[in-house]
Formats: sequence, C-alpha cells, structure tokens
Amino acid sequence: MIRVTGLHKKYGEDVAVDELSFSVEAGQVFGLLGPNGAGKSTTIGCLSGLVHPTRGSIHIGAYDLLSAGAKAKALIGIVPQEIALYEDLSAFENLRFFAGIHDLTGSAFQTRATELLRAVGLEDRSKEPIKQFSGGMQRRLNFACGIVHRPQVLFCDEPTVGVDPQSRVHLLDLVRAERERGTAVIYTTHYMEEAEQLCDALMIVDHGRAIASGTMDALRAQVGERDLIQLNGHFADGVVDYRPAIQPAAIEAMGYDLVSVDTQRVQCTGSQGARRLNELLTHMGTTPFSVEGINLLRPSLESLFIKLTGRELRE
Amino acid sequence: MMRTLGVHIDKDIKLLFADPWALALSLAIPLVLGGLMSLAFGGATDVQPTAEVWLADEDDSFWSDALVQVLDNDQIPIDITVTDWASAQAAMDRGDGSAAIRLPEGFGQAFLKEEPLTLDVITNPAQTILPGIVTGFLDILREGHFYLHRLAGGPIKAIAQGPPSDNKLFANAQIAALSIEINGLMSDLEARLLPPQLELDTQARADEPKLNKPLSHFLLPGILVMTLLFLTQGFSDQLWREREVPTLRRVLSAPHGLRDFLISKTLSATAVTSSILGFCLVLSALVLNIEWAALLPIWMLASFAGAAFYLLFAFLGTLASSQRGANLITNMLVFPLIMVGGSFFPLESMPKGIATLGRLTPNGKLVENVSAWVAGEPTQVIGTLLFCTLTGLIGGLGFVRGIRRGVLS
Repeated sequence: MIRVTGLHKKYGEDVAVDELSFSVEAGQVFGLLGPNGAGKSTTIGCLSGLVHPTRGSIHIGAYDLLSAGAKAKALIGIVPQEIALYEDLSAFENLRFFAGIHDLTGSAFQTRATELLRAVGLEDRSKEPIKQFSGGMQRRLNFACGIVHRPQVLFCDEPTVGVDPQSRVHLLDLVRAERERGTAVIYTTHYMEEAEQLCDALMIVDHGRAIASGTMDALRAQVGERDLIQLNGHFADGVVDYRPAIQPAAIEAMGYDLVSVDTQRVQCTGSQGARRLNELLTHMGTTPFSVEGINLLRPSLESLFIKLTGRELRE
Repeated sequence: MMRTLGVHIDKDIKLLFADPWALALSLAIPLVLGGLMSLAFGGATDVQPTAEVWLADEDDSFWSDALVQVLDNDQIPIDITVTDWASAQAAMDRGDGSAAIRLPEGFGQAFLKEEPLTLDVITNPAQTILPGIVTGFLDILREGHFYLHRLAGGPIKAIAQGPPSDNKLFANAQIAALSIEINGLMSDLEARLLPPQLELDTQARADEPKLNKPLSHFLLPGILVMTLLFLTQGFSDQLWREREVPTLRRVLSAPHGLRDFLISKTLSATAVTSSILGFCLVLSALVLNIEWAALLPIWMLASFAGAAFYLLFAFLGTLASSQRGANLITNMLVFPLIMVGGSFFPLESMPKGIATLGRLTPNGKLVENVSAWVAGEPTQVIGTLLFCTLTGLIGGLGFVRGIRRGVLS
C-alpha cells in the first residue's frame, strides 16, 4: 500500500532524510522510531505531500505521489503532532469540514460522524466549540478528523504526545481499530513501549538515516538476550582520553560489549549481565571512573537504539 | 470541486460569525473612516455654518441702515434679523442665535463725527465659532471706520456738521470747497491705487477638474477604497491563524488542497468584503444622495478589486516568518497605497507628479472610476480591470509559491 524508495530530503546542506526505503502493507502498522530531530516528521511530511523530497519515489496505493498527487492524496489520512482543529467550531463541524474536503458529505458523512464521535467518546459534546474541550478530548478529535473519510493509508505523527493515560489508551485502541479495518498505518513515536505494543514492523531512524528496520521479531533477534548496563558517574579530574582509561579489554574479557563511553556514562551489553555486575563494579573501582548509579535494561527496542547509537532515544 | 469549495466557504463564514466582535469592527471600519474624514475636512454636508444675529436699530438713520445692509450680505456668513432690543435679548436668553447687536440712537452722527460710541453686543456662550465671526466682523468695521476718517475725516465731519445754523442749505462756496477737497482726495487715492501695483491674472487650465461637486462626493471614493484595503488586509491575516494552528497543513494534504484553499479563501473574503461595501454604498445613496444607478457598477468593480487586493496581501504575508512580520509587510504597502492612491487626499488636489503615480496604482484607478460614477460621469474600467487582474495574478502565484516554500518545502 505504501512503497518508499530512496527518499532523500535536504534543506540547504542539512540532510533531514537520508535514503529511506521501506514498504507498508494494508492492515499493517509500521513504526517510525527515533529521537526528536531524527527526521520522522519530515518523512511524514514527504509521504503526505506537504514536503517535496529532494529525490526518491513514494507510491501510495497504485499512485505515484509526485506525479499523481491528487489521486494519491485521496487515499491518505493524517493525524498531525499538533492539534490541527478549528477551535471556534464544534466537534461535529470540524468533522464535517475535514470530511468535506475529502468529498465525504451528506448522509454518508452523518453516519460516519455519529460512529466516530461515539468511538472517541465525544457524542455528548459534539455541538460545543472545541476550545472548551480538555487537551485529551482535543487529541481524540484530532485523530477522528484524520480518519473521518476512511483513508486507506494513515499517517500518525506522534499522536499521543502530552496526552493523559486514559486518552492514550483510547488513541492506541483507535489505531488498532484502523489496522483491523485494513488501513496501512505509519506511526511515528519516540515512545518505545508504544511501538512495541502497536507495530508489526518498524524502522529506527537517527539523523535522517535508517539504523535498523524489520519486523518486531527480527528486531528483537537483533537485540538478542543481552542486557544493557549503564554505569552513571564521572571521571576523576585530569582524565582526557577516558575510553582507554577504563581498560576496554578487561571489560570485554568479562563477556561485556562496550557500547559507549563518555564523561558521565559507560554503557555495555552482556548476556545475563546482572550476574557479573559485581565483577564489573570491582573493575571500575580500579579505573578513574567513579560509579554513582547503575541502570540495568532488559532487552528492548530502547536498548537496541542505545546499542546502535550510543544514545538514549529521548536525548 | 464546487462541493469542496462550498465546504471551505461554509467553514470560513462560520469562523467569521464565531467572532462577532471582529465582524462588527469590520463593519465599523468604513463608518469610522467616513466620520473621521468628514471631521478632518470640516464635514461632508456641504452646508456652510451661518451666524444668526438679532439686530436692534434704535438710530434708524441712513448710516445705521447701511451697516445692516453690509452685515446682511450673502458673502458674509451672518444672517441678520432686525428687531427691537427687548426681543433680541429674549431670543438670546432662550439660546436662539449667535449674537444680538444694538445700534443706539445717535449711531450715525457718532460714526460721521468720530465720536465715542458703545455698541451693545450679546454673544451665545453655547457656540464657539459663530459669535467670534460676528465680533470679528464688527472689529473690522471699527478699524475701517478709523482709516476712513484718517483719509477723509475733514469732508466727512463737515458734512456731518451740516450748513451753518442760519441756513438750511450749504452755500455754493461751501459746496465748491467740499467738492474740491473730495476731488483732491480721490485724485490722490487714484494716483496711489490706480493702476494697481499688483495685478492678479487668473486663468482656468483646460484640464482643471471641476470643483463644483460636493465635498462628500470627493471623499466617498477614497473612503470606500481605503475600507476595501483595510478589510482585505485584515482577512489576509487569517491565513496566518491557519498556518499556526496548523490546520493549513492538514487542509493541504487533501486532494487539490492548495487550489481549493486559495480559491475558497479568496471567495470568502470577497463575499464578506462585498457585503460590507454593499451596505456602505446603500448608506451613501441614502445619506449623501449618490445616484442609485451608480451603486451596481461601483460594487462590482470594487468587489473584483477586493479579490485582487486580498490575493496580494495573502502573498505578502507568505514572505514573513511570523504573523507580526506579515502585518508589518502588508502595512508597509497599505499606507503608501492609501496616501498616493487618492484615499486620504483627493487625486484632484494632489501635486501633479504624485497624482500621476497614484493613478498608476490599482486603488488609484479604482478611486477614479468610483469618483466618476459618483459624479454621474462616464468612465473607462478596462485599465482598472487589467491592473486588478495583474495584481491578483501576482498575488495568487506568489501565494502558491510562498506556501510551497514555507509549508510544503
């Protein structure tokens, strides 16, 4: 349903999206994961026809987005990161407008609006101006406006940012319902747990480049069964070349893989890493690095991201 | 396409009515501008203010009657009603009139003999300007009387004294002496005043516009076009709200989103602007006696120009990186256009170079057309239509480019 090949976008000399290629089938939720500024929103902008890519091709259904934009756009629904609604209009009027611009009007719209307002829990307040709504209610309506015309392709750009837990669950259920309906969904987020719950396949992006991609199972295999150990602290004064100072060979001899070292953190992975933690801490005591805290992360997308980039997803 | 345009326009109209204060302010713009311009130019009613003066002539002489005739001249903004002093005082007590004047018995003799005399004058404290005109005019007469006696005091006093008491008539020798003195005085004055030392040669230019139309007819076209510019500038500002919310991104992701957005926004703005202009024109016809037949062409051309102005302002707004910047840029265009385009000052009263420049602006062209229609004269609209079409095209294409660069980059 969605086929992206060699997508590339430059702003001047800055590369925002660097040769991304992927495809998403109908009834599949494809996650696009990465920290802020990784290029997720630019990618969604390109896919929805709002941003003109520097090169690459995008096919939505049978249509090339760049050459048959209107036909391709007719298949698309967007749930943007910001609340893109008219606050002086009611929930019903917002739905009617966004349905109308996709040519859904009359009794077909009435049926769909009733169904959607019930689904997002706003049927009792559909006539009120939405500026009187809470943030969570506006988020739910924001989602409803993106799917009111029953798109075959749905782009959700971090739809749960700043949402209360109840509305978050509600929104994730709505995404699942779209998947059940056969919609191809691209879902960007920097919440790993959301991606793990929701996505059938995903791509992790950083600095515009794909650093890992595949189905959830394939990515879990890439993470392996290795725990991620984070040692937080700092180097004693005067240590300039701090990587050699912790004696990487000794750490690797214990069965750990060193992921990253900086002035305040040493990260490594290890199979059943917790068992050898004493040995690791004893070794660190012999180095200029003073350990003040320890995090042990079980195998997850989060630990995969750290393993691949040396950075946490939220950095 | 028509259905989606209808959806857009329906939404825009709903948003407009969701903010009734903004709508009321839009309606108030022409009324406020009209009021301010009328005040600035001394009122648009074309009725000259006149001081109503009660005059009691208790002297009833040739000279007091002459003063009444002088004051009751059409060239002077004073309207004299001759009555007795008690009635004049009573009228002033009621607040009727601007002033009351009493010419006491002996006024004529005192005038001729240059003797001290007191005129009783009562002015209306409720009025500020008109009583001042009356007292000012009396001051001028007093000064004139002084200089008349400096020039011809001797003969005047001799005439005032009359013939010697023994005779009823002047003796021939006395008449001859007075005649010689007056003749010498006139010859002396003639030598100084005739021919005049300065001559004013007034010639009407062939292209001099006729200035015999009422002031309101001069001001109305400018006020209408100024209103049009302010309204369209205000509506173009709403594009920024859509950009910041950002509903614009969502709208543009729909099929033909940019096309439908631009057309519908222009149509919505034009519909509202036309409605307000229509209201103003009907009001003008009722209050300022503008011909009803002139309203339709003015309304149609102004509505067309409004769409062009809207597109131009929409384009300029895309050049800015913030709503405030967009306001600044459009203001930088609106005010010069208003100044040179005949809205603040009628094109007829502007220096030739500036007026020529003003006539080359789309709003200046529109002002000329509207002025002609208001005056009931024929006018060519082809130039205005071409200028507005060009303005609209530049605005529309610029807007599309600006949106593509700013939102769709």
